[in-house]
Amino acid sequence: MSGLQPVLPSNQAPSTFEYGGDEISAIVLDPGTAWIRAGFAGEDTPKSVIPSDYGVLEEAGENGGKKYFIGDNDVHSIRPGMEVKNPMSDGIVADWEAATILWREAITPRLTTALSEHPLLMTEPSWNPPKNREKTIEVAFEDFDVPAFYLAKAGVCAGFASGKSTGLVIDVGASNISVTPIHDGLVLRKGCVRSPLGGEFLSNQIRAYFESANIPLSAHYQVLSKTAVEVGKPAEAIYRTFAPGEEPTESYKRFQEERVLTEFKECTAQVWVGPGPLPGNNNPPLEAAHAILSPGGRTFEFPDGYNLVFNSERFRITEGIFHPPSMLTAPNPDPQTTPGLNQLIANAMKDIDVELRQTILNSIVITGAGSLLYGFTDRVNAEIAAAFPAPRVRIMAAGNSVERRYASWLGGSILASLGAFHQLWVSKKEYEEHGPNIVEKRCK
Amino acid sequence: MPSFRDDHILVISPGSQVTLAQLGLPESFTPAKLRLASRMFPALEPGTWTWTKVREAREGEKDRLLATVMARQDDDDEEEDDEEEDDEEEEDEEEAEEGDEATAVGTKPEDDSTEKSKTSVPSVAGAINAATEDTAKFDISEKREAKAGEEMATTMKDEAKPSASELKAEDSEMMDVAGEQEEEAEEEEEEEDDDDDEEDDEEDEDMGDVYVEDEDDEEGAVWCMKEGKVVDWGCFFALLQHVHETINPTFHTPILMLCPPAFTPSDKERITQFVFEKLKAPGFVLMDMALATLWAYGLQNSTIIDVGFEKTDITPILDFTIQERARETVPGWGGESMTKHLMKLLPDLKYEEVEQLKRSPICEILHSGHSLPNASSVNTAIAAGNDKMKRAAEMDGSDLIDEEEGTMNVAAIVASGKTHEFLAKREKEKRGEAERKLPNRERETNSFWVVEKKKPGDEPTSSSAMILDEPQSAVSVSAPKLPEVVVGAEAPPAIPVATVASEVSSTTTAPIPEIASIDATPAAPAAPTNPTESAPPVPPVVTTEEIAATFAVAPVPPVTTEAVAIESTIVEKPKPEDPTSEPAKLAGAPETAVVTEVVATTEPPTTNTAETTTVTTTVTTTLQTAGTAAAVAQETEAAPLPAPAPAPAPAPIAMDEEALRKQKEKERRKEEKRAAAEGLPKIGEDEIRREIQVGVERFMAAECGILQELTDRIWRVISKVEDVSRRAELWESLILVGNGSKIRGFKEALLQTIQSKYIIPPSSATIFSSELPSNMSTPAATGTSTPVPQAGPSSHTGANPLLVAATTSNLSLPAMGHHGHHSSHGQTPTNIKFPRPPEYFPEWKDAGFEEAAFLGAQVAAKVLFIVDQGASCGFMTRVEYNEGGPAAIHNV
Repeated sequence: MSGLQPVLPSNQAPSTFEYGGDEISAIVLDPGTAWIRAGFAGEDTPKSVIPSDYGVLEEAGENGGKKYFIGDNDVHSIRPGMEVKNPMSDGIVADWEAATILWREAITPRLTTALSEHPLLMTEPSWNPPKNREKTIEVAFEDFDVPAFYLAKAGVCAGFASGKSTGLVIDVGASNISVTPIHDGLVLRKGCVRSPLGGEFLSNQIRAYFESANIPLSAHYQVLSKTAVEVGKPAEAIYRTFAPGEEPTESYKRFQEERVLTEFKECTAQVWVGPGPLPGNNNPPLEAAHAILSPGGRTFEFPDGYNLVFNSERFRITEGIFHPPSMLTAPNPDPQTTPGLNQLIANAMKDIDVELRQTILNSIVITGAGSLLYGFTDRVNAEIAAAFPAPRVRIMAAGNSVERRYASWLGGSILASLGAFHQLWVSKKEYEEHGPNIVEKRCK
Repeated sequence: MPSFRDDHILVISPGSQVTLAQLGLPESFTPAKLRLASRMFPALEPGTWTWTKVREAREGEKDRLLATVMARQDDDDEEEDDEEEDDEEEEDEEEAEEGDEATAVGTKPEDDSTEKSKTSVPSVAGAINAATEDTAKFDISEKREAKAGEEMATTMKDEAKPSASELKAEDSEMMDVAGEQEEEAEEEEEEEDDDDDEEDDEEDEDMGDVYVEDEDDEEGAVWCMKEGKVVDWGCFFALLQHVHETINPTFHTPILMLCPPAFTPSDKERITQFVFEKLKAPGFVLMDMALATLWAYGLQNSTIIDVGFEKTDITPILDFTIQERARETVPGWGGESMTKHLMKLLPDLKYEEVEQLKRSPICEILHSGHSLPNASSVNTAIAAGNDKMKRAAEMDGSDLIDEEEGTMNVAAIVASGKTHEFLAKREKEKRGEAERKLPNRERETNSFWVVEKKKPGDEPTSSSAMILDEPQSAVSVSAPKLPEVVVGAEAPPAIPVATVASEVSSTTTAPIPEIASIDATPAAPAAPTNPTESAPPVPPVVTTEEIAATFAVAPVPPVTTEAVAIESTIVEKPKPEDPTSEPAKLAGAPETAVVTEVVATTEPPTTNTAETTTVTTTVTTTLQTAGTAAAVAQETEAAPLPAPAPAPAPAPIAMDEEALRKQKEKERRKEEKRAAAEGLPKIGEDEIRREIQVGVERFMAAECGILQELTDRIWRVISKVEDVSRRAELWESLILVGNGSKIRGFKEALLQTIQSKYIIPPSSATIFSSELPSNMSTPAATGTSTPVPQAGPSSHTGANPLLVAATTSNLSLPAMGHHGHHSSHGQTPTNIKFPRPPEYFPEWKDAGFEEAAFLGAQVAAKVLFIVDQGASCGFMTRVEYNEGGPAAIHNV
């Protein structure tokens, strides 16, 4: 030992421990429409990610109540009569009973068994109504009995995750695409806009396309084993059979199909790079645009072995995000009134002070799992460049898909582990003194 | 701080069933030296724990112990009544005295622990010899089992002594209740901890009580972990303490402990605190089991499937980083679920038997395309094979005659009019032999050995199979009511040969060469069984009956039907190219050795068997010789059923007693040798080996759905890994570990299941889906100088990219930056592989890589404590603990 204090290389972060992380690490919970993410503050990824969808059996629980099946371990098992539901609606909690159970389940087995020992930081969408916020803090203190609590805006957190406290956060979630301008760590309420063109929309687009093209969609649970078949040939698979009355419910089927669609989105769907909308849109078919479009199709194989090559269809199903008139699922959402992503950005910027526009445009943060669509950021880039032809417009999208997906959780983790954050916690005592309304005063 | 030394490093790996530990790192890493069942017993003092069960001596116990010193109680009818189980507390003093007396003659270990428990030393009574005492239930590898068995024998001897001394010490107690001994023996095995309700009533009676350690008694044991979670911390810590005391390392011994994924951070802190404060370790590190496995394999990316006792962990690891979010623990699916399923299929077997069946080489999981070798499927083969066989048999007959010119009187056979029968016999026996020679998967039934503790006064009425006192002999009875439990026997393996020969000549010494050669590759444990088997009348229950031995002992009418399914074989013989299923290899027996042996063993019966015939031409004749009957009867003196020789006929050759005994001796020695050669479980003096025959159920262990379940889980886990482009790498290196996966064919079956359901074949339309490169790294671990990832373990938790993200601005990549990122987009899996286990450690190779995590732990310990010496904070030191408290464990 030289006796010298080793100097940390500049690219290595100091350990959380000496960096003001508390002795007791806080728990960060980021509930979304598709997934609930939970983990310890100061860590770089959430330790526990469970689906927000849960299974429920009526009158199967104790005292004839509901019995919940939560988490990847449970919700996928086939149970006759089990409905798969989601407690969220438009990104905010609609079913509090289920949400509470889900949140607890996200934390307890993996992270800790003693909720009352860890402060809890939760995220919320910027359009969360006050009533919901109060209910959230109530759940935290009354049900979870946490010692301290804070409610942070998901948009702000996502900005933090990219190291920005000022910027425009585009979050492509499951239920929504939201555009949130932030300035100095605060949400500029005026500019917050959203549109229901998120992951669920995309799934529906794909379903609609499959229906129109007569492509059978199967789910993994239905198949026991498959054999390889030629492209476009009917599937030759051994299917699982269910005794009458033993079949899984429709919602379960849909939930399982969703997994396949997710794979389709991950592997096959693609966003037209632009500039401008997808050529050959609408009338007459896309054949004309084929030459420009893709270097070739992509094969997608369904769980039953049926496989197809997708060419321009891959672009067409995503085009609705940017150009609602070309969506396949009309009339819901209404293609005429629903703003596409570029429209959203324009709307958001319109409401922002002129002085701030430049700084905000300087850091546009793209986040959310939906943004991982192939070509998505390129398209956004092209659209923004067209709409705001300024030299200092910069788009930031984490190259790492983990960071992109969990940006708001990650921001929360950073926030809660900062030494300066200590004063912001709402303690149990304060809550008891002031009641749930305190969330409006303290968590801006 | 002085540096740590190779031989002063303690590696501990706790598990739900077995806890592994080892002190020191040998030159070439070996499987764990210490294997303990992960359970403790509540000691007399509440909140304290002992390794061996301490209980009151029972009245009449001495009698019993004396009578049957090697007694073992397995199954307790615990519910009977609890009267006696109480008042340990009360009687501490008495117990102290008595305990002293009792153990005065005992061996040291006994002494030790008794004393401890009496003085209520906290937690552990260090029974030193405990290490190996536990049998079958816990020891997973059969090898170890054997060892345990051996030592069990010795410990049992030890135990006998104190009880003998008890006897001397207090005669008074002996007076009581001799009649109920048995009953009481059972009922008193209750836990001692929930005591004290009726202490007063019992005081008088218990004044004279003695506390003994019952090494075999599992009743009341507390298993401290379940599904990878600690369920009883007191017990868990007591176990750690026990491990520590058993190994008794020096003070300067750092500890590396593996932790199952289910441990929460607060669990880890708790353990850290315990290790530093109670075990006083100078250095400590907790390492994830999956990560350790990865180190063992020397890979960088992998999906690790750890099939445990009651759970399975699936852990994807990319660049040494566990993908926590995707990782899943599958509760309720593990080795135990297969055992349970087998239990359902074989309701007549006891849990221990099923457990041993599962571990035996005959229990196999077949490819789903491979039909079960039942009568219907084999029948076709038989039809074809039948003629051939007959011809072969005939030829054999003539061969025999030719070769054994002097000794065989052809004319006699012909003249006796038994030619046909003779040939039939030969043929059948050939089939039996051929069947035996078949690989396991082609056979309708097969048998395995069960080692169990001998029971005192074991009444055959209770179990479906009879157990003889003779340690080596396993006599089998085909119980009339439970036809599928058929039993092997020590009965001469080639009785029909013998009979045949004896019919011809009394001095046949060299059995027919062909038969010898068939015998030379005896299917592992089945060799000594029946040459003939019969197909069951009821389809699901596959019965096999043993002719010779069965008749000798069982009152079953000796009607053996012609086997339908057995013949199969000559046709299938060329199969043994399949190396895994070739029985000889399976048994690990050098073939030549066996040949000679078998020749030898077939010999004795030839000389002393005679034949009785009920002449039926096509169906088996009931063969029984008076000689054999006598021999068996003699051997099995304890056999409660007399040997009813169905149609006793005068033995043509009278062997004198002397010769007979010699033969027997010889035979037994041979048997022993052969057992050794075949890898049969070694047994101690107080144990018996029993052969149990099972039908196709042995292939159905996985039909409980575990494969499907795991397959779905693996797919889901890998799909949950965010980085789409790297999923292919995860699919290409699946590592299957955990003792639950030890069952034969599990890996292949799993692979097949995944492939049949999830694999994406190269598309006939594009080349896109098959473009994925295979950039698997090759294993890079070599013994002591193992090259490891440079960043060491700190790479998985150390540098915090989060704060990098927060504090540095080098993240602002241009959005276009990841264009190539999606280039290998495509569905997965297109290719599934299991990487080969590392080959640098011969000891591991022998033991199998189910416990590879322990190997990885050794590698890691070497690196962290020796090579690295803490330079990159690979472990937590005492100083750090003093500064940072238990939570500091998260920084390493």
